Amino acid sequence: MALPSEEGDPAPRQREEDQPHRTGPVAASLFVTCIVDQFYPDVGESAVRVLRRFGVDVDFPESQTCCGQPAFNAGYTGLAADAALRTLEAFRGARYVVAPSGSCAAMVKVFYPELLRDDPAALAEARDLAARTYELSQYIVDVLGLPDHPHPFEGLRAGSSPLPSTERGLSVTYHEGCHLRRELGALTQPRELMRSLPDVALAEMEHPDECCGFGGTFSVKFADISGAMLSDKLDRIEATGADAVVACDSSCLMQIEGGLRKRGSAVRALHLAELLDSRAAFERVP
Amino acid sequence: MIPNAQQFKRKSAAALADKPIQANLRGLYSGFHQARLAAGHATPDWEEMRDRGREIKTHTIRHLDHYLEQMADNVTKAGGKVFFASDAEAANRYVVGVARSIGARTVIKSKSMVSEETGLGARLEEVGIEAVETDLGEYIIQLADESPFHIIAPAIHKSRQEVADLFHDRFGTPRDRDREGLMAEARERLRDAFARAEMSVTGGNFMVADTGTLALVTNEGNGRMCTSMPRVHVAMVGMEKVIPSMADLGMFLKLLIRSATGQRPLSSYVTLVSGPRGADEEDGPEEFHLVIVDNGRSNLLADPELREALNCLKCGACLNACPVYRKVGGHVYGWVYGGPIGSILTPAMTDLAEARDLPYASSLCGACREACPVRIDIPRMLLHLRKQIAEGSPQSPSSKAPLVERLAFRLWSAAVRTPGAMRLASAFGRLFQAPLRRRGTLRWLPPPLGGWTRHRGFPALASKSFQDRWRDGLNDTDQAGRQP
Amino acid sequence: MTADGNRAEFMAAVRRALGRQRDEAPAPPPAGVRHPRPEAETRADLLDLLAHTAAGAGWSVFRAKSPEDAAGYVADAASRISSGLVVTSAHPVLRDAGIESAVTSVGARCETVAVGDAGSDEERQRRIAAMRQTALEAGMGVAAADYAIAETGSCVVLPGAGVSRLVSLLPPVFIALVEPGRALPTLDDLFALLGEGLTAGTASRYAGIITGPSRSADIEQTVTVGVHGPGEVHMVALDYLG
Repeated sequence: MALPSEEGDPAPRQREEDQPHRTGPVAASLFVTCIVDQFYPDVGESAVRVLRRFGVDVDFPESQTCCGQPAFNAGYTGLAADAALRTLEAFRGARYVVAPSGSCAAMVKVFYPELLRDDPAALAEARDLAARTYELSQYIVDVLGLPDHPHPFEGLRAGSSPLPSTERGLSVTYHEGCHLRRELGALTQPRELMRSLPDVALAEMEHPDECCGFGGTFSVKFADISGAMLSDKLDRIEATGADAVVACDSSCLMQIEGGLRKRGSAVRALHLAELLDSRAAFERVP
Repeated sequence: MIPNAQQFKRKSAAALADKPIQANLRGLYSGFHQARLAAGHATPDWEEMRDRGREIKTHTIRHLDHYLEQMADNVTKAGGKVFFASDAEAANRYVVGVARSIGARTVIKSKSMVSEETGLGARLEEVGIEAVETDLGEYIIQLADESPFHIIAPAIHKSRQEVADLFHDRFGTPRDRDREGLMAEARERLRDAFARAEMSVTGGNFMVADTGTLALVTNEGNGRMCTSMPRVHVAMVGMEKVIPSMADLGMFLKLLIRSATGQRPLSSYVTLVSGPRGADEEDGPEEFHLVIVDNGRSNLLADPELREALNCLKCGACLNACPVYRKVGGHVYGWVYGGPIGSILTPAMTDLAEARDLPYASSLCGACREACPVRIDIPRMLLHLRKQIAEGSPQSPSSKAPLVERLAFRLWSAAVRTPGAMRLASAFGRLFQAPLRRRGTLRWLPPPLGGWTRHRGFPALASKSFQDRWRDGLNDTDQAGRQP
Repeated sequence: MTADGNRAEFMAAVRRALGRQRDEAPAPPPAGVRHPRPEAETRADLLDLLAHTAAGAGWSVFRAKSPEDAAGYVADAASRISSGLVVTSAHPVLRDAGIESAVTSVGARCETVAVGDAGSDEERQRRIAAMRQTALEAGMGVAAADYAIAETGSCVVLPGAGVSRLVSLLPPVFIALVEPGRALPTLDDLFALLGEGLTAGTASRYAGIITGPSRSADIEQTVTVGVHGPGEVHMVALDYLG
């Protein structure tokens, strides 16, 4: 697969051959993340529907709140560790934890072990959770596996897509979230999923790896720099002529969508889960 | 040079509004950045070189004392003099002393970031010794009385016209000089300085411990000029620049050059100096002084979390990759080193309180780490510095984060303690957002969040959270994913 | 002022930062990546590769089939310079190729610059100043390369008796004559040789590795040649010696 931006060290595929989707239902716990919970609950619903269509038995541990990243990124590691410990507890015993966010998944997979390194018991548990936690697209492609044949989205039936399904299909462009790319090494999985949708065409933007300028408190502390970075990103999105920009993080999309609306652009901002849900008028063909 | 990083915000606003600066910054991405990517792809074993480079640098820094002793012994054995300068003042005092000992009236300088740190040029002028920068970019900013804008391209923010105007003001040359004409003018003036100067001061890209060799990389040839023309050559080098062995110099040169400019196979000139002129040689400096400078580097060395910053080859790749640097440029960082690595070096080597904005001037996107030839984990170190500020550092109590920020995070922590607390906080939020809400978007937010809405709308809190939707029946949805 | 004055204090601070009391000899450093030797089985292959990479690096490359061929090329270049003065170093290979008479035959002057045995320091400084003036006036410099590197298209010039650093540096045009036996496959090969020589105290304490013309991109990131060093460089491979 040709990538638009070849740099980086994608993590090796951790496809678990012993967890085939073909032999029965898989159980996964949704880590919906606070931003989806509070601002984009539709994305959470889409993630649930998509996972269920892949035969996953989705569960939602209700004691979850926030992964702690806002505090971690601002240097309040004590407060972040409190949040981390609560998250460890919320997902204790879950076979898989799936988050519709590269950034929050990276927090759990990469930064929890660092954050909790001085507490041996918590560290052990954090490592264990890290191994079970996946970002949504990585979970679908690497764990569930896209079967090579037959095409996973064959046997479509008409869906209730909120998006236009024009003659030419839907044209989308993909924004690589920084954490998804650089902490989790996921370059191919979201693209594979988009390309597998029959009426969706992927039009790559220039420098899809360039940060949208969100960066949590950065976007507030340095709002004008963040705004200038966003402006470049929006120019590149619009230059593709795509109907929608797709990302795997609602935080990036919050920034990008806010900018698109402000400049009156017709381009939609979509979470990958929403795209899959809306096109996936699909069910797996047994 | 005195750090002046407190004005990051004010200066960055000015840089954002400066059209020529913005155009030149865009060029860094299409130029150096893309050239680096192409060079990496074209170099066999590039990724392995980066790994080995990182390992060797980490090893060397871990045993810095050993390799510096070896370097110093070898230079001394070859007839050079080595001076260890703990700080800027000691380094400058030594160099001024050498200049006075030979009665130097003119000193020529080849690009040296360490001498920018110590403010050597101004110091020499103070004692009546002319100091002339010979790298074209450095020469331009010296004429303009500015600091370097970029580690390897110090005058990259200036357009040809600005340089032509500067030359016109200083030398009376026509304002319509093209690039070749400007370069020819600089060449003639600098040739005159080269011929006059009794002494040179250069930096150094690598110190090779096992042979006692200083390696200088230039494209213009000023490094060769400075090590060929004057009677005395002084090299001022940061102590972290040592590598153990000549056997690895080739790899490190390629890592540096290909990351800096993307040049293949090499820069025009690599000059190796292992001591003063040999007895049978026709010309070259009769004295060679190596000034090995600490000047705050031991702060980095002493903190295991920041030590990695000493692996830096000063190639500037992280600047070109950084979307923040490419918006604001080098001057806003307030000291010698701009960009992501500058946001580590400046607070750690100078004053955390003074440079308190810098660790936050990053979206933590990680493009710097991806670009770094020795994979320095800059985002991790920025987080470490943020932690020192949030928690208050014993070394720098005045750098502590403002009370309102600390309270805000306590409030956040309370709000996310339980789903119930979050529900309550969210209810309050919905109450406050009601008057601001227009079709799901908040177009205006009060300070300190107001900056956000200058550039984009903010989404309104959903009227019903995912948690509540789940409780209200999403969990009963049929397995085909159809809502009931 | 004494150099080395505060070495002990400086080292103590470094060791304190590292949490150590004294110098502890480290285990050997990890090995770096050595670039594989290019696939050049014969010396002719190596020269072909050198010619290719050197051209890529900005040299005008000429393959001389005879001494006359080489001298003719140099004379042709000399005839194009305006100053009418060519400086050379005292390499035997220049003499053998008859460079001086070829240059003279096109009406240019040819001077081998050297200081020689000056006796006093005063006299030495006087001679250096004169030599520098000559090199500054010259339109072209000709020297033999001590090494050439096929991997990078570089020439390496080492100073020595009769070989001033200025010949390859000050004139706007530089011609390097490369004996086939001086071609090394890789940059690592050069550093292996220099490393051994420096450790043994036999290698030159100065080395200039030249890869193409003097360049700058300091104004608007656009490359301009001939800033301080030569803007025009020629590599003449003396194939006839192969």
